[in-house]
Amino acid sequence: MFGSGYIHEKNNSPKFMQSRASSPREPLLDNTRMNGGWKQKLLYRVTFLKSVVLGAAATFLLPLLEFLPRKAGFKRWLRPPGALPESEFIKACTGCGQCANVCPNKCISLFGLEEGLGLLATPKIQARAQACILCMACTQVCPTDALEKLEPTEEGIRAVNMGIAVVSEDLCYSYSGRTCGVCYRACPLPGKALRLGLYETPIINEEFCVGCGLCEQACVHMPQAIRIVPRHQLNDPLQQTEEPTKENNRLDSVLDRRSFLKVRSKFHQSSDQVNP
Amino acid sequence: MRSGYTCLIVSIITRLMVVLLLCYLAFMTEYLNFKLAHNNARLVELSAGKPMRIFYEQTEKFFSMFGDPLETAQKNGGMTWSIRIMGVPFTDPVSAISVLAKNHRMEIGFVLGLIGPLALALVFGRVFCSYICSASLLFFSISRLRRLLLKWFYFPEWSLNRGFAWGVLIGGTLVCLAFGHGIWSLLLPYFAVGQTVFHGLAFGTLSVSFFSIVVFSIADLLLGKQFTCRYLCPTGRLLGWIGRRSLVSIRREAPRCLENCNACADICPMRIKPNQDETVDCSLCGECMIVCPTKCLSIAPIIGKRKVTAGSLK
Ligand code: SF4
Ligand code: SF4
Ligand code: SF4
Ligand code: SF4
Ligand code: SF4
Repeated sequence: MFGSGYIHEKNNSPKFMQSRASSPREPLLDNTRMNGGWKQKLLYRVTFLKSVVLGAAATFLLPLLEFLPRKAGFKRWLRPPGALPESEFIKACTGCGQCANVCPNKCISLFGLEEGLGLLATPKIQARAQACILCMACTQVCPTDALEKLEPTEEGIRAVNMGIAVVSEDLCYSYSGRTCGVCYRACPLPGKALRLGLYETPIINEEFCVGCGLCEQACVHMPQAIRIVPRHQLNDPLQQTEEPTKENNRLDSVLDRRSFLKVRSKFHQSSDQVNP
Repeated sequence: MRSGYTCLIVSIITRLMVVLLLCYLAFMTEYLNFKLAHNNARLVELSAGKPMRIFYEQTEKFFSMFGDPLETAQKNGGMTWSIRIMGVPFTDPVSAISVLAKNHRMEIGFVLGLIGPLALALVFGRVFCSYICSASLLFFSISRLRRLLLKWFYFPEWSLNRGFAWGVLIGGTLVCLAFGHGIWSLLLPYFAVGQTVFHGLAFGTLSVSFFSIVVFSIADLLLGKQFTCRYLCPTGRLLGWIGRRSLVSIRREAPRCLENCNACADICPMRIKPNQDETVDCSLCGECMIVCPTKCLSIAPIIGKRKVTAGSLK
């Protein structure tokens, strides 16, 4: 009589189907915790614990996602600069996405399920598509210090360890006698990380190379003649990327090329018109 | 406060603002990109069109009010899971638990970020769920849709014990120990919304989290109003528990309350019973204040002992 202004959910259903819990007159478990005898209290506790176990058990179904069939993904992803060693990074990074949000270079993207549950929502960089310019903005915002705070100075850059560049002498223009040297001009530590030999052949100094991937992004050969072996593959001989030749890493270069073209057309095509 | 409609309108506005903020943060990357690459509105227009120029200029103007626009822009970021607004960090309690379990150490900024959400829960109870959570606008709309559909169709109202959400919290933390924190982007509705919005707007891709939002929405539509919030979301459970003796909650003037009315308990999306002075889990949504025929419910400070009934755990 009073409740005409609202829709009484259970009145729309036949009496026998009405939900037990929302029926007003039924005593149910109400107030048992306060007033009931020990039997009811025990019953209440047991129901509660059962639900906790049930809830946890339901969550344990999630790892099944690990067995979902998935396409072979791009393996040579990099972590943003300042990242803790991979095993530590995984523990610290909560996948908050603040690094991806702040990156002015749009190089950080977040993992989906392509590398499994373990890496879900953590940041990655694909150097050929968009390499890190080492502005260090991401390291300043990470709330859990999964990325250690670094400054965009030479010292800060030297502290970065994302991987190491590898040159394929088969592919590189300079090594086949056509002077190129584009990668040298892209490197943030030219002369240290990347030196030039005769005919501008790139020579990597592993001690200095920080693996930013600017050289890989800049390489004018298609597929790229210089690639970063990411940090997480360096110590793992099984996963180690072989030196790229025309034959191996075909998948790698196909994937690279596709994303490269996509990103290029998205961000740079139109700016070409600005600066003809 | 006595007017349920005020609560309703305010909650819709604040939640819309949060969703817009999420969308805006996804676009911020674009702004930073143009700021560093061009730093010139005309070049932005040439390379990305007129709307982007307007966005760029307005953002620039807005952030200039706080000092250097580039620096100010970099003070904002994240999804509702962990977010910085003007340099002030806000940390999700669930993320704090999972970091503590997995990492055994907490950064100071991360801990400071907990102050805001915890204080809010201690004073207003589970208010996050009706006024801030970015998923709750979706679940609110779905519960309205469900209410509409119930006029013609019958969906039984399922109930679980609320221990289930504690189970999800415990199980999620264990799965997180075995895998990574990313598991929460599938388990926490608002994190899933943040991921979906960010992936959609910043990268133009569909996030896996979208599928968990779909699952939650279907559960809400078919199993019960705000089913996800009541039984599945660990954050809601945690905030409800933290705020179980909150300073401000729903208060009933017992003499005016009608016997056998039960309108408030029937409408409550959290399915608590204001007519039995139950306040645990109240998210201050104001629905019960709207339907109460004698207007005996109000949002007010409650001092003294709370009644914790088992009904609040249903
Ligand atoms: S250092 Fe700068 S460019 Fe590199 S990933 Fe971080 S924010 Fe992006
Ligand atoms: S900001 Fe830090 S915690 Fe957040 S996603 Fe990036 S690396 Fe992970
Ligand atoms: S050689 Fe390549 S990866 Fe190494 S520092 Fe130079 S540009 Fe970066
Ligand atoms: S840019 Fe590529 S082709 Fe040119 S020198 Fe460097 S590695 Fe060789
Ligand atoms: S219970 Fe969870 S999903 Fe529901 S409103 Fe609260 S925080 Fe959001």
